[in-house]
Amino acid sequence: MNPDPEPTAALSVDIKFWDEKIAVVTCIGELDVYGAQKLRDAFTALNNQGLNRVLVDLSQVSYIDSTGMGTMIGALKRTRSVGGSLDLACNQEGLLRFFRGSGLTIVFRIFGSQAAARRYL
Amino acid sequence: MRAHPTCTAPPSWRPAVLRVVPPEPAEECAGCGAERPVHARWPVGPVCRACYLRARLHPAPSGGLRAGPRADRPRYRGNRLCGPCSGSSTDYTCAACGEGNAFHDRGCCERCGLQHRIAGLLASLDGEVAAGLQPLAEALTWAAMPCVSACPVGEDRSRADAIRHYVMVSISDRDRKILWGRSGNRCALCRRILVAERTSGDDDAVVGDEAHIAAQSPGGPRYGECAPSAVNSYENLILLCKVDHKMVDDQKQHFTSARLLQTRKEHEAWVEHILDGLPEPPGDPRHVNNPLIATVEREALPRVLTVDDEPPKEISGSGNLHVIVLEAWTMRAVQLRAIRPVVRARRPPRRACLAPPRIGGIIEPRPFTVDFDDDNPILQALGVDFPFKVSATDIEQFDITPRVTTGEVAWHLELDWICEGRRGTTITDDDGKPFEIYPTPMLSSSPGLDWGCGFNGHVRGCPAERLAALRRAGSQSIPRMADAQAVIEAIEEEFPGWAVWHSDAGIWYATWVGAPASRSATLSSDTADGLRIRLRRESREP
Repeated sequence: MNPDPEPTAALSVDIKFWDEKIAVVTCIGELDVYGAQKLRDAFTALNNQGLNRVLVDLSQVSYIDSTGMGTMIGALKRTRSVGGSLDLACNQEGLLRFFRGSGLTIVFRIFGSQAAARRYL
Repeated sequence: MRAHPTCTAPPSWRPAVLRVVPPEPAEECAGCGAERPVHARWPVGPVCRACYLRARLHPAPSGGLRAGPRADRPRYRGNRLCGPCSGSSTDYTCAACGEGNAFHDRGCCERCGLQHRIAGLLASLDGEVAAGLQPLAEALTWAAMPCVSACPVGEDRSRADAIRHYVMVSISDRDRKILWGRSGNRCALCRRILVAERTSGDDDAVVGDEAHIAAQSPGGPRYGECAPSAVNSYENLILLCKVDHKMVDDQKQHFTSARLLQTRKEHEAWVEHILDGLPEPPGDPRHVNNPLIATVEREALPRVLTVDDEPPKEISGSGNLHVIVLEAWTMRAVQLRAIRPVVRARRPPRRACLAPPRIGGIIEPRPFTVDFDDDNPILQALGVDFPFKVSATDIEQFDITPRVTTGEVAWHLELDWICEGRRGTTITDDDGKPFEIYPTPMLSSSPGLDWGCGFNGHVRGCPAERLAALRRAGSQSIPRMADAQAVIEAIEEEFPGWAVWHSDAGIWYATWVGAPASRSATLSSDTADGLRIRLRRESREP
């Protein structure tokens, strides 16, 4: 028996850079307790490289839970404390409703897409 | 208990101990302009005791003081002052109409307080103001309104505007004649006749209302959706029976202005068609051609079925109950000979979303059923069968449960009747459109047909979600991309520093992209106008 079963839609995290200043973290899959760990590792790696302007693309995330949300809030606090920023890109109402319901729209800047974010960042 | 030694009043009536307070130094009162001892210092300046009491006892309603009191506006001398401008932080809200910053007496704003008093004066013994006196009551209320012109210190609602807005208090005879004439003395929704015949002892009775589509008073249904000057004109009126009038005013989400205008248009076309197209029969011209009034209600099933169409629509599933209530215009008996379902169209089932189950009531077995899998479907009686008899005082109710398992069916009912020696057939359908039913059992048997929504909620992009998004977006349509882009650009131009976009479900968002500031990073609203309001509020707050 596998004590730690992997969920079917595991999160894959892809990082690319815009002008070597902004890191774009694209998440695909479910951002749950398993995915959150991957995302946290990605944030730690970026932090170690001294990159503190991050855009997290959630448009291909089908599900997000409190640990995923907690990871992002933790990263937001860390980046803000060093004068950086952490913004989101997401167009799915299903996910956005979650952000609105929890009042997190007050702290996160959310863009409709990566392209829209690119215009302003 | 000992009485008071001087005035012999019981102890609880004893006056409070008087304290001698040295008078404040005299200054020029901002209210009356006289040199008087200062009683209070307000944003408008020092006020004497008399002006203080007058303003506190009779505060003027304010035109909205979101921006706070303004001491730099013209002096208020001789005029009235609202609560917030006089330094009171109380946020007055009228208990009757909910208008803010408008406090008069008994918790009501000036207008509602006045309405109550006028209604009290004009009411008959049963406590109701007679319909004929209603316009007078309104006229008296609004005639008194110019005196509440505005707090001169707060935001202006000019006296001229107030008068212009309220001067048209009643519907003109001209508009009334047009409305009754074009509607043919029938309710635009149920089409019942709106003048009840006289009896041996009583006169005819008017049972119709000239209903406002957009309400005349603030807070009323659909208020503000019509130009103030046109509120009492024919364009904003629809002729309804009392029951439907109450219904459209209570169910204002369903009965939007657009829907009511469309209803009126269709009704007037129907009246014209009836009067133009049919030869006038002998006897009572109103009833003989179609003596029946059929009302159809579909009982809500515990699970709503939404089919994938453009736009998506909710239709009845197989086995959904149709309740048809039949009554007659005439006092004479109308014999119902037969009723038969008629198939208008068949089609293979489209993909559909069967909403997650809700807690619903148990539907009792009903007396008729139709099997539409049959090429020539017939109505099978599960209880008493035809013929039946209806009249104006005798109503029959048919509960019909159509069933289908092979494909979608569009159908209506035909009802044969005999009345006063005439035979006829009445078609009963869904407001001019056929009923539609869906083969619900196929959803579980045919793979790929069901969208797959279940206990965990809706699957993304399913018809029910799209329909909900469309309804949220208002007027049943999401703005087309080109229109949406224009709106986005307009909002972004109006509110620099905000990036505007909308989500896949048509919810509007604005993201702050200006210089860092302590404000909401992202705002959202169901509509573009709602977003504008939120942005305006956001940019006003420091």
